[in-house]
Amino acid sequence: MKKVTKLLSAVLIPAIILSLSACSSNSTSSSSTASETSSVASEQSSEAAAGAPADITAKMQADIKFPSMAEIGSDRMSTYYEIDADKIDSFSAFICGSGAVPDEIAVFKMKSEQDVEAAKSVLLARVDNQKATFESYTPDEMYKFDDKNVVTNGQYVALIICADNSAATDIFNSMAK
Amino acid sequence: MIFLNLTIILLICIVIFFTYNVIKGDSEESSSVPPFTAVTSAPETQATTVTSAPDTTISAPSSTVESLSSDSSDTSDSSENPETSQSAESDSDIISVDFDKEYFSTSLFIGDSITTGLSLYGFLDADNVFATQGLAPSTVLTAEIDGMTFESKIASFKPKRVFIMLGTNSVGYGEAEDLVSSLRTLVDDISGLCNSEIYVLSIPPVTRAADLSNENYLTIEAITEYNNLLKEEIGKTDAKFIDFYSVLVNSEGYFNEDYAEMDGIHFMGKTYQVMLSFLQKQTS
Repeated sequence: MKKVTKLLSAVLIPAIILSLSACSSNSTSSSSTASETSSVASEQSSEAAAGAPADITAKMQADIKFPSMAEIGSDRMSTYYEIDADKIDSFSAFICGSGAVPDEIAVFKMKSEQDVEAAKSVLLARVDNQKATFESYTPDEMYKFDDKNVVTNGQYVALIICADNSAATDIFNSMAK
Repeated sequence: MIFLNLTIILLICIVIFFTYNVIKGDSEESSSVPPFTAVTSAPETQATTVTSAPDTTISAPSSTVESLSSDSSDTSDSSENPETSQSAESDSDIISVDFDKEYFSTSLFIGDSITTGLSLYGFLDADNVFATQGLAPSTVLTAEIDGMTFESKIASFKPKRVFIMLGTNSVGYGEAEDLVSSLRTLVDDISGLCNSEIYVLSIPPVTRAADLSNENYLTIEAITEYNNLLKEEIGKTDAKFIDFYSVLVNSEGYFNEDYAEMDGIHFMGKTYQVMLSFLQKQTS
């Protein structure tokens, strides 16, 4: 009987060890997957912190009250902003779709800091144009025009016309890196 | 013999081991997923399906013109009802929202801020729109938009169809007869410039809140008066009058809030889809 027990132990113990190690391997695999997921999330969050223009405009729209906004895609960008497309790394822009109020946000990441000034001039002209359009139409909305309508930070330049330009500028400065 | 015994014992152990794991696995599964989860999650899915429906459908107007003559006093006593849009959309006659952007590629839309939304939302190209904030029947004849008057725009664009929707900025402030007279002049001028088909749209309604607001004089009563006069005047020309107003009203006679911007006057994005779908059906 002792022999049987010994033999049984000899067979079962490795089997149990194998089985446990398989479980352990599974759980390691799971935790590895979780770790990868977390790593991806971390990368995404670091991308957000690094400031993709789309993330910046999304954060502005999440934190500040806007009317129904329409996205200005690359196919229509030149209609609104005469910025040399070759000098733009990436951008994201939204405008009040109904035309009722002057709300508009546009964030450009330029390929070089040297291109920022030219883009800034274009955006300042755009602000002046919108100001002229809306000042007789909706005088109550003119508080949205101030000295924060065009801001820059490194390679980034933004046009901001909204209900809280200061908050939008803070978001821009914290994410445009 | 010993080998046989060992094999049997090993098999029994394996069976016990797997049975234990299966039982353990089942118990883990049942503890992590409460049996009632499926029941509670089901209504959420249904709710999502229902709320997305208004994006693609709208109740059809019972007629395109006659409803303009309705007296706004019929609706003045109605209390605000959040279910209004639901009841309007539960009508059986439903128009699907489907338009072909290409169909409007040779069309020109003349209008005010409401019309700018056609291109701001990207439903039409900017070239198809001659509109700006504040444009009115009295100013359209001399206005310059992006350096062009309506005459130079028509001369360069050569539209097959011209759609005009103007009056929202003036109704309630100016005499309706004067506003309609200005639009008649615009229609006559366009007729003299090109052979385009000209369509004049009734101006849209406002929501109940906007109607009652003291911020402007744009009321359902004033809008209805203007639209009725406009229909009558356009009837004397080769242009066609299109009653878009009736498409947008709810059962209480106000602008359906599902389609109105926060101010109760301007359009949401989906309203332009409704507009273009309706116009394509009316003019093709």
